[in-house]
Amino acid sequence: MIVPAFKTLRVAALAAILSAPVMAAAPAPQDVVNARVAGFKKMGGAMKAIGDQVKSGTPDKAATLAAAQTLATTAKGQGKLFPAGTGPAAGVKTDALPAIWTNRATFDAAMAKLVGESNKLVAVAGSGDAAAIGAQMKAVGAACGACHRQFRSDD
Amino acid sequence: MTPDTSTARVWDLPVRLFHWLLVALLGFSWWSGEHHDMDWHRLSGCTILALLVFRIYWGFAGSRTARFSQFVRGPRAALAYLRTLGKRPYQAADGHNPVGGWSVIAMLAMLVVMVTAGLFAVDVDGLESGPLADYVSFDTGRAAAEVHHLVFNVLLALVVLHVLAVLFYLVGLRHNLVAPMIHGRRKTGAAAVAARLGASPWKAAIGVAIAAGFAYAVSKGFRF
Repeated sequence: MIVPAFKTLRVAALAAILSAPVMAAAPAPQDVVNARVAGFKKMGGAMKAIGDQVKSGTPDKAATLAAAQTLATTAKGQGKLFPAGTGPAAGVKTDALPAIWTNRATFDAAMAKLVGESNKLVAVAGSGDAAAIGAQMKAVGAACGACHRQFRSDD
Repeated sequence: MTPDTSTARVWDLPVRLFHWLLVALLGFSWWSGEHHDMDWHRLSGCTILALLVFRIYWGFAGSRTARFSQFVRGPRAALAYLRTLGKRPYQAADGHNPVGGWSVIAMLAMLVVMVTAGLFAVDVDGLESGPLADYVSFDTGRAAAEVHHLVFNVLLALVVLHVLAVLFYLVGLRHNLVAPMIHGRRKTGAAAVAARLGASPWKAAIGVAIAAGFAYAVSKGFRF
């Protein structure tokens, strides 16, 4: 069949490109920006999904837990998506402020705070307790907001 | 010639209350939105929704000068009115003039779009959202938030235009439009209209009930 053969060819071509030394060393800054934006959007969607469950008054345990896990898993990966050279100085379209790289320790602490609060949300997400989930969701939101105020433009 | 000091009623009480409550709530919504005080922002927005529902109802059931059929006029009437602005002394219109009527419609339309978008809006963190946001996706909610923000700027421009027009009447035409919007009366002048305003308290009460009930249902996301 033609299609699988074509796919194999494409995978091989991609592997060749990725194994080229330059590409392996540093992905294009815009690709990194796109990846972290996608991650934040995923987290926003998960937060909204949890909020929708809280609003209903009787949160669906499985759905809330799944969304909280998406949130926590994605949050863990986000800190790695801010390598040097992916800020506004690199000429990429980003709301990330230069302060992320000049004040890295504070930024990393804010990211760690987000991961911690997200994990706590996972812990209560399966309880079906709308008040507890809502309260922990606010704590996660506060972690989002605290970081955005310092490190994100357009807020 | 002795100055004519007789007065006629021009705005009924519901129209005046609508106007000044809207001014206050629009200001408060702006403030609470800027300060991310979203519980207050939602409450203020839902109250504006009630005001809008009432005003649209009142546009059909209200007093003479409150009705859309009285003040929504074609472009020819608007142009003809603009030409009369050059004549002195200025002859006040009975209620909204044919140009001001379009200003009212434009502001009401922008308010409806802004409030509707706000009902579905979601903030960037997915934490805060309008009462109907759980009926749409995160991306749709973000788009609604952008419309909400954009239309607010259009509305601000219309409000500035409105205030400038009122100032033009006050300074340029020596005609005070603000006082009648407070006490409901204006000097009759030569173009006196003796007809009653004809605002029915019962119809007003029905309108308040409809508006409050609808806004309450929306604020609860139609969940009871």
